[in-house]
Amino acid sequence: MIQKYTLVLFMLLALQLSVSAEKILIFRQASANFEEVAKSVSGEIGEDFDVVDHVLTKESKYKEFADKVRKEKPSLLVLLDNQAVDFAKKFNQEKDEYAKNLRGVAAMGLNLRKELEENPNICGIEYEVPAYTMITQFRYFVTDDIKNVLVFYRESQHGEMIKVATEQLAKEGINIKAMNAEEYGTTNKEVNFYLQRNVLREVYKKDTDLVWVISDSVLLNSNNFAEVWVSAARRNKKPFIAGIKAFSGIDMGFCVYSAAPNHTDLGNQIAEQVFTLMDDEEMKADEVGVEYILSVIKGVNMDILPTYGLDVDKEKMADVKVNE
Amino acid sequence: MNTPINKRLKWGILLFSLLSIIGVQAAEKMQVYTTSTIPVKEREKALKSDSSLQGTEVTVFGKFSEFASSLKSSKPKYLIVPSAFVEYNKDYKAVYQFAKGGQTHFKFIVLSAKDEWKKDNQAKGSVGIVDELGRKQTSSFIKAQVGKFKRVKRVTKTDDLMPLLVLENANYIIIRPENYEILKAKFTAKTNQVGESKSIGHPVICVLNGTSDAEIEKLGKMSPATIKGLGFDELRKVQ
Repeated sequence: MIQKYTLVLFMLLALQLSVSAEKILIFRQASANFEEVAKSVSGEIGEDFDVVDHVLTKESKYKEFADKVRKEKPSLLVLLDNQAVDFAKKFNQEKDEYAKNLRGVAAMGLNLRKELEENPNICGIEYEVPAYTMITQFRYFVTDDIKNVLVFYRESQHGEMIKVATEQLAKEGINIKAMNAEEYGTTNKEVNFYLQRNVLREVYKKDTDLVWVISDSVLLNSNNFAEVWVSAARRNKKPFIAGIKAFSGIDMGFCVYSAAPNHTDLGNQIAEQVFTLMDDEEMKADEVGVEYILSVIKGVNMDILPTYGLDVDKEKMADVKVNE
Repeated sequence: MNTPINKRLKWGILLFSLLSIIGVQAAEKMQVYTTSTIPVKEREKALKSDSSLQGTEVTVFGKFSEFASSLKSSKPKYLIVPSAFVEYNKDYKAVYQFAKGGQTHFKFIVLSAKDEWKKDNQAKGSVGIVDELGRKQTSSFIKAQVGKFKRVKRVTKTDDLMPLLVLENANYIIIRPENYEILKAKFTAKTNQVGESKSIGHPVICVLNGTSDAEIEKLGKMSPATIKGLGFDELRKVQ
């Protein structure tokens, strides 16, 4: 009799285990932006899945990552930055079937489109705000016509991005003039030399309506930031725009506008990819691919914008924050 | 001892208790979530200044996820929501429906940005839509009203639909015609209309089941200015 009850109890426990929610493991950094994204993802998927949030530090080693995955045995990973993406790629190279096939959604990393090229296990969302989003939304509330946009880029890093942005903006009647800052070479010194020789002159040209600043630590560095970039913007009084909020702050006096990632909405976008993969066990992550980030927080520096001779339609600025 | 001070204190406590009870009873809640190009603050202002909603605590949400999360913690007595919401939430019934240009119904339009994404190919493509119903409900709503797509992508606001299409995050978008007109001012990229939905009702005012007739009648007295402030021009009783 006792044996019978034990068997029933065991079966019930087994049933309970079998219906428990599948697990999603988030790897992220500790800072506020990462926390906001992780919170948003958990909020979206928390009802359907068991979500575990693990914070990595710069000192974290692959072993910490692998041990956590082995312990939690998640059905899917959410990888918030390049370090987590690198660890996941390494984990996918381990010999067992679970490790080889574990899928992930990546975000908040740089150059993810390139990093995840032909990767069958990890899809993701680019962190860089597309030029299309930035420029069309700026054009909407300024009354002046924006037709010609100047950008400095590095062919080795941004070649594909520039090609795609040129095609996308052509659909809006906007022409991109892209200057390869690696024309003299790819070292920091050579890039700096090219920028020193060309930025001020190109910005000055009559046909430059707007300058799109790519957030890249080689293009913008402590040796050239004030002397080349800020100086060119202030001297020529031409509008510069970027994907970093701080650049359009009034204390910096550099860019007139910024469109930075909206982290809560980015969490929703990540959740969409999580659901897509979890709804279909067979789906390879490369079918989803790397998508563009959609939602941005817009900021404008009204201290300098009017002094550059640009008028704005305030009725169209309901969702644009005036930076202080 | 019944000194004048003690007496005053007792009356004071009694009055405070009565006021607290009245206060609690008066604070009925109305929560609003509809896709609109009118900013949240403006719609909230319009509703809060309406005399028929005096004493009602009004909250307008800009995102469906925030609205859904609030609904989980407590169920407000009144809602203004897309008409399809009632099909998936049986605790509420629709009592009034908004109308525009004499019409209580409209059709979503389906747009693509590339010629290869025609109506015939939609089952192979992905589609974007502003989230108005939640994940599972959105998929079944699209399947029933527009047809089958390979993948549904929800976005939080109308402004994100056009980049979704032009940046090729999705092959199609489903959008209200009046919202598309507004987006056209922001984005000039060429799009093709490849289809439309079945006839869909404009948003409705819902009440929690069991709400009295007197309270429902009161809601119907919403002023024309408020209705206009929400983007419509008429409020009709649901039969």
